[in-house]
Amino acid sequence: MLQPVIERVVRESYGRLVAYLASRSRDVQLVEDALSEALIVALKEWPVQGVPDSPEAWLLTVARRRLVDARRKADREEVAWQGVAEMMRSAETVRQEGEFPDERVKLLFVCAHPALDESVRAPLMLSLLFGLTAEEIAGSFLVSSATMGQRLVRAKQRIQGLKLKFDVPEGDRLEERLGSVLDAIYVAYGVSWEEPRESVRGLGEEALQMAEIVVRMFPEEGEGKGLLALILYLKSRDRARRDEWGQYVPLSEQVVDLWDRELILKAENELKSAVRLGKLGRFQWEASIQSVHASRLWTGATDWGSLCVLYDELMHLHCSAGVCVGRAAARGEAFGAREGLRCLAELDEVELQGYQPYWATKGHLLEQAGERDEARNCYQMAIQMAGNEAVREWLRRRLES
Amino acid sequence: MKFAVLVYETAEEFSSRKDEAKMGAYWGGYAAYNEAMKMAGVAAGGNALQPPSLATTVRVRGDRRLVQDGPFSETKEQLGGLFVIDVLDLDAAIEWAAKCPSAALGAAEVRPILEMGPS
Repeated sequence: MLQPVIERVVRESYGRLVAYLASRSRDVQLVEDALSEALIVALKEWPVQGVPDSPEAWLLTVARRRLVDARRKADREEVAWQGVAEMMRSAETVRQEGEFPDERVKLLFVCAHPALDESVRAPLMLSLLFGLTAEEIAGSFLVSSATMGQRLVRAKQRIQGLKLKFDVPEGDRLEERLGSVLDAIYVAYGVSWEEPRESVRGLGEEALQMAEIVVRMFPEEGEGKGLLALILYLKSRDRARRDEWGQYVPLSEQVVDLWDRELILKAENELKSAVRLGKLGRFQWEASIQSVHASRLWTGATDWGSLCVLYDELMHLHCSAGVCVGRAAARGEAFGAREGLRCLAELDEVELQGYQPYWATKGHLLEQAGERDEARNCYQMAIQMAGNEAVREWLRRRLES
Repeated sequence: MKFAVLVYETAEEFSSRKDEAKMGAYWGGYAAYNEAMKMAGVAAGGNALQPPSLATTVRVRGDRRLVQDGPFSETKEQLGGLFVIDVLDLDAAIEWAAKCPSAALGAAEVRPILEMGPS
């Protein structure tokens, strides 16, 4: 009975509590320790005294007290103390109002700080904003729990040791820093898309929340809205991505009735208002591509010609393996398999050697072009590289057909 | 003549800075070294550095800024600080470097300071 309450509080408020406490003390590790101690106290006291009216404010008060004790013990430098003193004052307001400001956006900027390694940014966001553990995250990032744990600890030590500022960058640096935040959020979404796991609550949900935080804070930044739209489009297909036996279903074969119309409409709105801001970028182009796919819901067909144009634009801005292969696939549909193969031939095969979608797409195009033997070889390659069983199984069926 | 004594430390030395069992000996060693330099009248500056896990390496290539988490080079011994000493000649500087605690475990590198302007 109590466990769900605490779980809900953690799920909904963990990031806000960390952001609020850490932006004042700057020591995220200490803050996380204080919070988990507060949660242990809650597990002991709430069954006896009942759940407080504002569980968040209660946890904040207890965690803050722990934090102050820890500070005293550690006898840290003056700056940190000033932070704690300020926190004590503002905590008074919190107690009175039962509310505290949502400063998670600052936490996002810290997590995506250029001084932190790119590979740790998305995991760090999931850990600090949602309380996910190294064990919960590791698999999605294809590393062991121990490695992920070390990376997170090291990053948290750097945040504290380098005294990274918990604030929103201003001026020239904002665009670049916001770009890093958006990239990391998209990575966080990407890992959940690759391997939807029911056991860990959908990681895509977290990425969506983070994109919403950014959009709330920066309603005038088109790329934030572009990313939000992109995630909404992709999320709208959650139910269609697997068939009733859990098998992978590629986009072109998905049953559109399984798409979530409400999410698609939300995505359309976000994308429209993003484009209206007049500053196009990678995520708006990516969202536009997904918008074309989504319109199959109404038109019953995919407009491959438009997709080719959008891919060309996107490639100028963001020439990643995914974009290049996606473009080749679109051109293959629009102008025939030979044209798709020609696009793939322009790419550097050495660089794409380990990229599964490259081999799957090449196999598909070769199959359509009637080159069955070569197609089989490509599917074989793709099968070896596929990171999840559903995709592997789908490729195997192509191979046998 | 001014020299820098660059203190190159092993990972163990860096970790003994915070290890309760070893920090006394570690910091005591440097305090004594520093004191000896002052007494001899050769101390001319210097600073200790935080460990390489807090290093950030920056490169600018064209209009791209490449910021990397970590030190410039991944070597076994890493720069942990430096002393500036004012002594008669290289021989004297080497004598001081040999007394640096890091010389016994990691290394101490001696480099003449490049004096700018008319000399």
